Amino acid sequence: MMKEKKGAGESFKRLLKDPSSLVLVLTSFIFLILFVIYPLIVIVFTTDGSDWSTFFTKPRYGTALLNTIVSSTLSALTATVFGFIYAYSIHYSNIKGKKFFRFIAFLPLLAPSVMSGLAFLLLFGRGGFISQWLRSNFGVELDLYGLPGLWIVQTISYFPLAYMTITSVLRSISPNLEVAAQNLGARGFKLFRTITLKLALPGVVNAFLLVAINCFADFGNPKLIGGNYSLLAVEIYGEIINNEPGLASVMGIILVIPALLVFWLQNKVLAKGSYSTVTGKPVAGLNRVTTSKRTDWLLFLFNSLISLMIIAMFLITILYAFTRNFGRDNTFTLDHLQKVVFSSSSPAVMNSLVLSLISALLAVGLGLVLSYIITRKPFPGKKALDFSAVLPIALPGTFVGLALIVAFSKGPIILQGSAILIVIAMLLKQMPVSYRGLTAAFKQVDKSIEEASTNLGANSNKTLGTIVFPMLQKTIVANFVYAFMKNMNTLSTIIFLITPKWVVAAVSIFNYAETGTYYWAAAVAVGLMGATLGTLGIIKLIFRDKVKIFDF
Amino acid sequence: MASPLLLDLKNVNKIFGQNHVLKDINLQIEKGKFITFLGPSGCGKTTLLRSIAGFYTIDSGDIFIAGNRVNELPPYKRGTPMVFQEYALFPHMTVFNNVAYGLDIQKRPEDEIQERVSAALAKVKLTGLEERYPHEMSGGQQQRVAMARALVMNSPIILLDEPLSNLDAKLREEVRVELRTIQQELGLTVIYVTHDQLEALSMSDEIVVFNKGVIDQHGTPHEIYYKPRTQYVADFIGTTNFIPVEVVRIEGSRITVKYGKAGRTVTVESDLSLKIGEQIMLSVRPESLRINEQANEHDFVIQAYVSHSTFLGEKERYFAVDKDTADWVPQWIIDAYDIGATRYRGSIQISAAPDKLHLINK
Repeated sequence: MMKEKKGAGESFKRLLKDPSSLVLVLTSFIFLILFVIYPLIVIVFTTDGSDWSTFFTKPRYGTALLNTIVSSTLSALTATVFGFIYAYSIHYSNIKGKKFFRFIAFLPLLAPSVMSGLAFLLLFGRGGFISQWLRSNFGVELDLYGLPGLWIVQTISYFPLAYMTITSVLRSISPNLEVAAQNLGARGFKLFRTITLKLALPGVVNAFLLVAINCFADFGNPKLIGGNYSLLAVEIYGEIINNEPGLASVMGIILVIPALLVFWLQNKVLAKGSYSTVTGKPVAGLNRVTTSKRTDWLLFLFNSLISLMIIAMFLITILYAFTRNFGRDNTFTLDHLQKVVFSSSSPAVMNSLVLSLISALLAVGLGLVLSYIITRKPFPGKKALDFSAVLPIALPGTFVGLALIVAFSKGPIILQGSAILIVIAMLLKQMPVSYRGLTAAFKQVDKSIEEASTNLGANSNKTLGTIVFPMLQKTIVANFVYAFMKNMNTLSTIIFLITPKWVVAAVSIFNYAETGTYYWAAAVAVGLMGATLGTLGIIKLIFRDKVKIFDF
Repeated sequence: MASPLLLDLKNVNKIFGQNHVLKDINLQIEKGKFITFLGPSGCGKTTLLRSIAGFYTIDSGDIFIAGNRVNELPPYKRGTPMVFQEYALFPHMTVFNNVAYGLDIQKRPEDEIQERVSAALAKVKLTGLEERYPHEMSGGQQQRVAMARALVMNSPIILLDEPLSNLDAKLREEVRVELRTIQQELGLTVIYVTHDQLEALSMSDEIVVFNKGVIDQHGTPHEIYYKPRTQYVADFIGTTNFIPVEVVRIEGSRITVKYGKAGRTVTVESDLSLKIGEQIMLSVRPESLRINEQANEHDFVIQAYVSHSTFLGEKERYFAVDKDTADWVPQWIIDAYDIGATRYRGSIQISAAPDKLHLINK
């Protein structure tokens, strides 16, 4: 009896006949095995029983774990609530200045999250602007180091992430449902509680989890503001400095567990509980039910406060960067910028720019290759490749950096001390995003369009070059821009990997802030933002209106 | 005796920007009637429905529901449950909770809610599916949930916004009958919006035909079909033949008109107020025309020849050209039913009894 030719053997045979695809598939496998799977295995085997028992017996680590859980839960809670209110006000209220508020929520993306920590110190730290003002006018001594300060800073730092996640959920809720509820007699808070909030809930939970795992593994702000309030990521840093890779790895693994749990939850549970897909398109001409005048007023007030806080943080950083020593000597100067941004002995900003561009380019390139072979080519081991391509998205940056340093600082492959590891660490964090985005884009290119091209005589390479890639252009550029911005601002991912030669700007901000040379930290932050904005401006010029970069 | 008015619209106007969507709409709807708003998209029918439900505030005029002026009432106080085209079922609630939603809002006691929801679900034949979620149901079932959610409110009026447009043809026919049955059993007043003339004709007590923001005609399906008041109505509903004619004699409601180059006349009943010499239109439905049958002396008669025909199953549709006057009417459409193998070719005579003819103002 005739049988369909299929199975791993068949797809492998077909792959052998197509050498260019074979090269792509093999390269992808080798890369992901080397930089995703191998470090994970190494990090697990670096730990031994004594490391685990040390971790669980010394109260210091238990405290750090507990502190980490408490602070990330608190920060995630407030960031999510703030993000929700902010997003709700943009989509449901009639307040003025929505465009401005959207812009403000987008601003923190331009700077590394450690800049929030820096700005917080400049405002509320011991010598901070507001602390001093309070001290001299009211005799009030402000001490926000430790949990309170960290809570505030992480809330502000991660509020945009929560805001954006929730925005996309609110956007997907069909106004029809609210209109229908109103038709049945619901209004005001009842309508909000029974329909809007219920429908947004999966997205809100998702936002909470995202912020929580980000806070859980964050390094910069906890180190700057935590003071004696010890946290896991900071302890890992200490153990790496102490040359205790085993103990560091134990804590790294502890960091990963909740992250993987959330990743699993997102894929299994939340995807199921998402209602947005079944509600259909909104009816033309029917507008969403909006808030009352009084609610609008409260929302406006709330947004203004948040915006004020964000603006203050940027403003104080800029003031520090451009004055001799803000608060004591307010003379305008370019010396700090000269010293830490434009001098050849301080290459941090330039390093950031170069490494971020290279890494972003590679991330999108690899994402493109992966999405292409996975959506278009048959080969064995597809599921495994897909899994290892997406996996890094679930791993906290701190862990990625740790795994790479642990895996490549000793044989058989030693890459420590070179910029390669920095590029790869950034790439691993961003590639899954590009990969997912491009896979979705590939799937949207209708097969029949490609078939039409083939039908008219173009071979598969020609079709790819003339039909598919041009159709993907927007997605490619958008992902490149996103990866670039994230790379510029990452600290946790690369903190273990930098070398004296390859210091990057985010680390430089952190170092100067820690040693109390705030004006230099501020100057590097300004330089970094300038470099980011300048690059985005150039990309905008190249692609004109084809690509929306400032889509806030 | 006429039933009391349930809905009374007086000089209703609605303007969107530059677009005057509803122009001086006056409409009275009696209790217990199945009323259809019929028209192509953009004619204002949906806008009027939404204005009745309170989703739009009208720019002038008045809306009375059961004698109360509701212009300023927000949608949640109007008591006009609506079945949406996309159903708008709450995806996070079970069927039971979807249907119970409006009663929950009214804070009805638990056992009353239980009872009324069960009754409503029984009406739409969904008993037993209370715990399902909308995404676990077929389109037809979702449509029934949407219906039950509106029915359960026990409101004297229900609004339906093209509720069947997402169902396939066969199911649509089924639901049409059910909807009509439920409406009659409960004595509901239903306002039904559609662009489907068959739906309108088969379900309604009265049809309101909309044309660019005005009501062209309001009447029973029979009146709309056989006595269209405008060319637009005649054209929108079914297929019809139009011939320009001239009024030559008026005797009360008996109008004699002259048609064709040969100047034959025919006398037709009409309530139009006309003048001698006026140019108007005569309309006649394809199924009212006969081919090659012995014509009466008062009949309407045209000599024509067949250009082509199409077999449509229950009938053969002929397209014919007027023999000596091809210049004023290019084509005739005649439906011949149940004629077996007979097929007309070449010259034919088309005729119709005077009571099948209808006069329309130009």
